[in-house]
Amino acid sequence: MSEAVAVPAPPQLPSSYVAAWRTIRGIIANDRKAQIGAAILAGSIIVAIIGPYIAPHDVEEPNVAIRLTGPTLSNIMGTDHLGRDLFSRIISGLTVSLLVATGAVLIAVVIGVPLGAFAGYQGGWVDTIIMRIMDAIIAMPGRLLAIALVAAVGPSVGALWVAISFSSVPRYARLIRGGVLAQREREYVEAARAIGESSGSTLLRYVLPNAMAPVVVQITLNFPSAITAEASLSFLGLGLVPPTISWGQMLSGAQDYLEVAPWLAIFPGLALTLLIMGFVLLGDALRDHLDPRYHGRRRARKRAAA
Amino acid sequence: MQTAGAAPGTTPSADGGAFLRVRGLTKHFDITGGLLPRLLYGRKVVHAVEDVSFDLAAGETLGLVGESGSGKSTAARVIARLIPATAGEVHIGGHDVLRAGPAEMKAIRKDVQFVFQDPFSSLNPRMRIERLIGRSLTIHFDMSPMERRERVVELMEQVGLRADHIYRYPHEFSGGQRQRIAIARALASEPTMILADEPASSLDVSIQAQVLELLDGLRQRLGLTMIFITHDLNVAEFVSDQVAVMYGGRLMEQGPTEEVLQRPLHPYSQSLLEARPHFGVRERLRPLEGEPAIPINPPVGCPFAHRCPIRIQACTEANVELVEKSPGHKVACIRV
Repeated sequence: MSEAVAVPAPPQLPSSYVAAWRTIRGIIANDRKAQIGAAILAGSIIVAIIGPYIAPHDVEEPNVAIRLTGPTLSNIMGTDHLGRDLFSRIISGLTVSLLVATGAVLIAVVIGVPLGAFAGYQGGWVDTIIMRIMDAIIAMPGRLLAIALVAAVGPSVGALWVAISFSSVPRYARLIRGGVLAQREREYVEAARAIGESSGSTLLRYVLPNAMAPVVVQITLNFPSAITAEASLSFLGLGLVPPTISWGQMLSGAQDYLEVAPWLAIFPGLALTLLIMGFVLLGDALRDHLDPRYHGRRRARKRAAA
Repeated sequence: MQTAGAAPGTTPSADGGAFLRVRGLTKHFDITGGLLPRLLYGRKVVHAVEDVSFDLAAGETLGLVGESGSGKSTAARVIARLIPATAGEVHIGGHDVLRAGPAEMKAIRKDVQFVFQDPFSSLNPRMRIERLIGRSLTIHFDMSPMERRERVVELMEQVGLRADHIYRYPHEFSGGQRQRIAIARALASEPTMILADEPASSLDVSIQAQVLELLDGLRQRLGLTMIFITHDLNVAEFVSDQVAVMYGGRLMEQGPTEEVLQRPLHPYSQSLLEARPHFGVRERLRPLEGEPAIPINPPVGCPFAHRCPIRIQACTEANVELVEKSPGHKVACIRV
C-alpha cells in the first residue's frame, strides 16, 4: 500500500441480488413458457394496482334494471343479481387475491426459511426438535386446519394469511434444510471458517446464498396453492366476506344462477385459472433452470427428442 | 535445524525455536451410525490420526507425506482446528490452539491459514474475487472499502493474477488461477503459517509446477512456516526442509528432507521411494504389495506390519514409538 496501485473501475453491479435478478431475466428471455407466465403475471399485477382507475363501473353500485344480463358493450362480462358490473368486480377480486396470496407466501418464507436454515446448520437436537414439529404440521390436513383457524378467529385478511401460510411453512423449512446440509460440507464453508468467519456470517454469506435456488422455485409454485386456498375458503363462506370482493365468494354466489346466468361462474373461474397458470408456467420454467435436481431430467428429455 | 531465527511477526515460544509444537495429536471418528448398529456390531471408530508428535521451527516447511487415507489431511485440519481434536496439544507461536477461547482463536485464524486441495470447491461460487479475498481483510483489519480494494489488487498481483479480473466470479477462471485466488485469500490476513493440503494435486501437471513455484517463492519472501501435505515425494523434495511420513494415522519417520529421501530407515519409506517414478530412469518400479490399512478399530502394533517385508512377531504386540536414530531423524520401527 506504499504506492498508488492501479485499481480497476469501481464495481458496476456488485450486488448478488442484481446478479440473481439477471439470472431470472435471462431465463425469461430464453424460455417460451416463462415468457407467457411472466406476461400474465405482469399484466395481472398492473391491473391489480391500477384496478380502481380502469374499472368501468362502481363495484358496489346496484342497477336492478340490468340485473343478470349477459355480456354487453357497457358490461363486457355481464352483471350479477343486483345488476353490478362483473368485470369491475373481477378486477377488484384480483387485487384481493394477490394481496392474500403474497402475504401468505411471504409469512411462510419468513418463518420457514430461517427455521430450516437454523435446524440444518446447527444439527443435533435443535435440528431434531424443529424438524419433528415441521413433520407434525405436515401430518395435519392443511385446508382443514385453515378452515378451523378462520372459523375460530373470524374472517379477515390477517386470519387468512396465517391460516394459509401455516401449512406451507414446513415445505420451506425442509427445502432450505436440505440445501444447507448439502452446502455445509462443501470445502468453501470450511474455508470460511479458516479465514475466521463467524458461524453466523458463514451461514448468511456462504451457505444460504448457495441453498436459495429451490426456495425461489418453491415461492412461485406456492402462489397457486395460496390463491386456490383463499378462493376455496371464501367459496365456503370462511374467507373474506362482503364488502371485500373475492373470486371464491363470487363463484359461491353464482351457484344460485348457474342456469340463467352462467357467465357469473365462467368469468371468475377463467380469471382464477389464468392467474394460476401464470404462476405455474413461470415456476415451471424457473425450476427447469434453477433446481439442479431437475437438470438431469431435462437433459434426458432433450436427448430423447434428438 | 530447530534453532532457526524467528520469522518476522512470530513470537518465539519457550521451547527453543519450535514455532509449531504438536504433541500426542489424536483424532478418532465414530462411524458406528446409531444405537442399533452399535448394539449389534459394537462401536466402529476410525483412528484417523493416532498419537502424532513433531516440532517445526519458524520459517521451515514440513512435507507431510503419505498415501490416501493415511490421515495427513485430517492431521492438518486438526492442527488448524478446522475440526476438533480427540486428544493432544498443538502450540503455534505461543498460542495453545486446541484450548484457545474465541478471542484468541480469532488471532490464531489470522496467523494460521489454509490452502485447500480442490480450488473448484474451496471458493464460494457466489462471491466475486474482490469479496472472496476481501472478506479476510474485513475480518482481520480495519480498512476503508477503497483501501481494501487496493490491497486485494496487490494480493492478486502478488500471486500472478490480473488486477482487472477483480470483479469476476470463480467459475470464470481455470483451476490454476483458482488456486492462485485461494492462495491470495490465505495471504490476505498476513499469516505467519500456512497449511497447504495437496494444493497442486488436482491441477494439470503443467500447472502444478507453477503453483508450487508460487507457494515456495511466497514462503521464502514472506518467511512463512508451512506444512505441505502431499503424496508426491518429488513435490515434498522440492518444497520442504523436513519430511514426515505418515501411515495408518501414525508418523513412521521424520527428519531433514535430504536425509529421509537419501537414507530412508523405515521399510514403508523405503518402499515409497522405490515406487517413485524417475524421469529418464528405465529401471523397474517396485510397487508395494497389498492394500493400505483402514484404521477402523486398529489392533495394537505397527499399522504397516501386514505389508512389511521385515516384520517379526514383536511388531504386532506393542505400539511402536518414534526413536531418534541420528540428530533430527526419527523412525518408528523396531527393526532398524
